[in-house]
Amino acid sequence: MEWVKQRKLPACEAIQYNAQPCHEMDDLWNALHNTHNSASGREVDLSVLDPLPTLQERDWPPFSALELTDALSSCSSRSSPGPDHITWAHLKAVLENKKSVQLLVTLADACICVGHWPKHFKDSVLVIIPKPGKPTYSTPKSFRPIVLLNTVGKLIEKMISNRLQFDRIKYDLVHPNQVGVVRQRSTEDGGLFLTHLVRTGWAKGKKTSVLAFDIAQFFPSLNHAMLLAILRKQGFSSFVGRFFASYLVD
Amino acid sequence: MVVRTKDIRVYSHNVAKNYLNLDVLLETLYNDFVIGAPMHPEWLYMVRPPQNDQAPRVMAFVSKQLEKLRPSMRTDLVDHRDIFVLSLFQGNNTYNLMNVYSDDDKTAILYLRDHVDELPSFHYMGGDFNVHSSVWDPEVTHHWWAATTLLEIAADLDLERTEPSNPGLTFIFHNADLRPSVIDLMFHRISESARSRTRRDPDSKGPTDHIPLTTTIVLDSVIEDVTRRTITCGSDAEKAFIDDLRKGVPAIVSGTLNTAADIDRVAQALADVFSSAWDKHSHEVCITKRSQPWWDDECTKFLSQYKLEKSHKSWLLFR
Repeated sequence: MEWVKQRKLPACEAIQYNAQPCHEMDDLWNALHNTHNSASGREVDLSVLDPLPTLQERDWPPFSALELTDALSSCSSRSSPGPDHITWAHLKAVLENKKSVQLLVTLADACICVGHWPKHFKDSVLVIIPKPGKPTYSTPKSFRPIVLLNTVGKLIEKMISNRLQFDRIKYDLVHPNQVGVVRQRSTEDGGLFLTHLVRTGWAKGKKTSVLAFDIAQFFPSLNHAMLLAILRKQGFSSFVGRFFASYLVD
Repeated sequence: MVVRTKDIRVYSHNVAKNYLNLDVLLETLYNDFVIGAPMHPEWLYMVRPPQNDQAPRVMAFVSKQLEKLRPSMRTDLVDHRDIFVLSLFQGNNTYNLMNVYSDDDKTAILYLRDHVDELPSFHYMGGDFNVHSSVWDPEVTHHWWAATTLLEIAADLDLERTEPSNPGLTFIFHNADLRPSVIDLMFHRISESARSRTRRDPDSKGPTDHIPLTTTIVLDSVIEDVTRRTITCGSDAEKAFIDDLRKGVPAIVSGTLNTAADIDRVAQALADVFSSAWDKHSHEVCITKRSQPWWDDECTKFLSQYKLEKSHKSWLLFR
C-alpha cells in the first residue's frame, strides 16, 4: 500500500555545505560554486600531451551565411532565453532579413580574427533546478544549475562548434573509443563495441566482466590551459586558440 | 490573492494528535477557498523526522505566502523532538520563532536551560509548556522552579511573556471534574508589547482540550512581491517586439571590425536594440502560485463562479 509509507519531508531545511547550513545568499553561492567548480584553476602538467603528434596548422576560412542559417534551423524555438530575453523564435524572425544575417556573420568572423569574445555574449542567467526524486534536498548536489546565455552569442558558438565537429571527423581527431558528443557516433556504436568485446572473449573461452567508471563533474573540471594546448596540437588555426583564450576568461 | 503585509500571524494550538482537527484547521486558516485536503497545497509542513522511534511532538505549517522569506527548519540550532525552531529571512534580518511542547517531566524546559547559551535571540516562543504559576494563573498559589526557569530562559532569548488581550484558561480537561488551568503561553521580544495582538481563541478549540492562542509578529519591512517583466507568448506585444527587432538589427552599422573595441561596439549596439525593445513592450507581473502559463482570465472567472455557486456544474466548467 503506497499511502501508508512514511511521507517524504518537503524541502524545509537549509542546504548544508561543509556541515554548515547556508542561509545567506553569499553562503549559498559559495556552496554551489565550490561544489561544481571544485577543480577549476588547478595546476596541470601539460607534458602528458607530449607523446601526441602535433598536426600542421589548418586555415580557418570565413563563415558563410549558410553556416549561420544551418546552425539556427537546428535550434528549438521552445527553449528559454538568456538575460536579453531573445528566444530562438525571435532570432529566427530577425534573421529572415539578409542584412541582419550579414551583420552576425561579420561579427562572428571578427570575433575569431581579433580573438575577442564580447561581454554581452558572456552575460548569463543561472537557474538552480531541484533534481526530481532526491531523498533529501539539503545538499547542493540535489540541484542542477543551468546557465542561460544570450542567444546571439550561442548562435555564433554553434557555428564554431559545427566547424570543430567537422574537423574532428575529417581529420580523425577524436579517439576511436569516444562515442559521446561526436557527430556520426552514437550510444548504439558504444553498445555494439562492448558486446563485440564480450563475445570475442567468450569465443576464446574466457570470462568477461565490465568495470564502469564515472568521472564526476567532468565538464566543469576541464582544464582551460589543457584545452588550448590540445587545440594547438590538433592543428586548429592559431586564431581559434586566441579566440578560446578570450572566450574562457571571465 | 496577494496581500502586502509586515505581519506574520502565528496560531499556536496543542491539537492533541487529532489529525482530522488539524485538517479542518488548515482549511479554515487559509484565507481563501481552497480545494484539496491532507497534504495541504497552501501550507508547507515542517517536522523533524522521527529518530530512535521517538516521534516528534511539535511541528509547524508555514503558509506558502511566506515562501519569499525562505522559511527554514533549524535542526542545526535545536535538534529535539519537543522543540521546533523556524527561521525566516528578510534582507539582512533573521526572525527566529520557537514552538515548544514541554511534557510532564519538563524535558524541553530542561533542554533549553542547558542549551540557551548556544541559541541566538528570538522573536517569538510559544506552545504548551505544562507549567503552572501564580504569575499567569490566578488560581495557582505557587511559583516554582519550572516557572522561574522558563522565565529565565525567555529573558536569555530576549523574550518576555505576553498576556493575551482576553486572559483566561487555556487547558480544559475532557473530564469536567478536574480543574482547568493556564499552561499555553506566548513570548515576544522584550518591550514589544504584543498584548493587543495576542488573543485566546476559545471558539476554535474544536474537539481538543487546549484553547488555541493567536498572535502576530511584526517584521521590520513589508514582504515585497516577487515581480518580473514578461511578454506573453503570441500576444500583440510580442508581435510589436519582434517588429522592433526586425527594424533595429539591420539598422546597426558594423563598419570594419579590426579591434576588440569594434566588436564590443557592435555587440553593445545589438544588446541596446534588444533591451530597448524589451523595455518598451514588456509588462510587470507578480510571481504567484497562479503564475502557470495555462492559467488565464477564464480560469479566474470560472473559479470565482464556482466559489459563489458551489455547484457541480460550475466545478466542471472550471475544470
